[in-house]
Amino acid sequence: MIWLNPESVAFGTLEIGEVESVVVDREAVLTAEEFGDAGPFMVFADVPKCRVRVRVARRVQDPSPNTLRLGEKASLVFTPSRNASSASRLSVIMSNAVVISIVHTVARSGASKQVVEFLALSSDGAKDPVIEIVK
Amino acid sequence: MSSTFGGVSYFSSGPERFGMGRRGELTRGPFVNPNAFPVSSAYATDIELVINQTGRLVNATAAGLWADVDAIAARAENFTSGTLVDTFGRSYTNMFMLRFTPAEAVDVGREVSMAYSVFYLRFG
Repeated sequence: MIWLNPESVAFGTLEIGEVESVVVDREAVLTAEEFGDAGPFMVFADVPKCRVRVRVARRVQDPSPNTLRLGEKASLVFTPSRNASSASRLSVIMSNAVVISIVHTVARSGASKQVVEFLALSSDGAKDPVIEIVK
Repeated sequence: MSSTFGGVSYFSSGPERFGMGRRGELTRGPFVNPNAFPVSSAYATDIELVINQTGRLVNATAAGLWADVDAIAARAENFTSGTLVDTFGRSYTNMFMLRFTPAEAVDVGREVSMAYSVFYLRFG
């Protein structure tokens, strides 16, 4: 999932400004794969362990102290930008997200970038850590 | 086709594979001591027939999976022989299901599943 130019992004009590995009990626950490005796092709596959990775990309216009810390855990909430056809307001909530990387890209022309990467945690292992709420 | 043991299809919920243990003559040795060459001797009898099965039990619910596991474990603990028919349709009479070994963990994804191995032996 990709959201461009979200209206607001908050990590805990920290408002993250100048955000260009929020990307939610899902990937298998463990796959269960099985073959049978009848032939060469896989007959069973499942994903019993997966990772939900969230990347927040923002412009860095001015030098500013970095208040995010690796390993920090808090809720990550953002509101995607509304378009002309959207009558309702969507919020995307991750109750628990952990900062796992903060990477900067310096550009000579234009704004430098900061990409903050999070792992989204499920509350019980079964519930999807990414919740979309339509208000 | 799914395998059966004693006429019951215990493992049809998921993929299964069959393999055979080594065949041939039962021997002992080689024995070695400082004054002699290695020596093996034969018992003049065949190695017991071993069939190994691996696969994965699959169910929509954890309760369903554990019901399958309990049924298989009960059969493995019931020391009576049966005819094993593997996925190739090959039939082995007078086999004992001696070991059912579940994997370390149940995998919960789209479905609830668990890998396993089974050891069958024909005595004598």
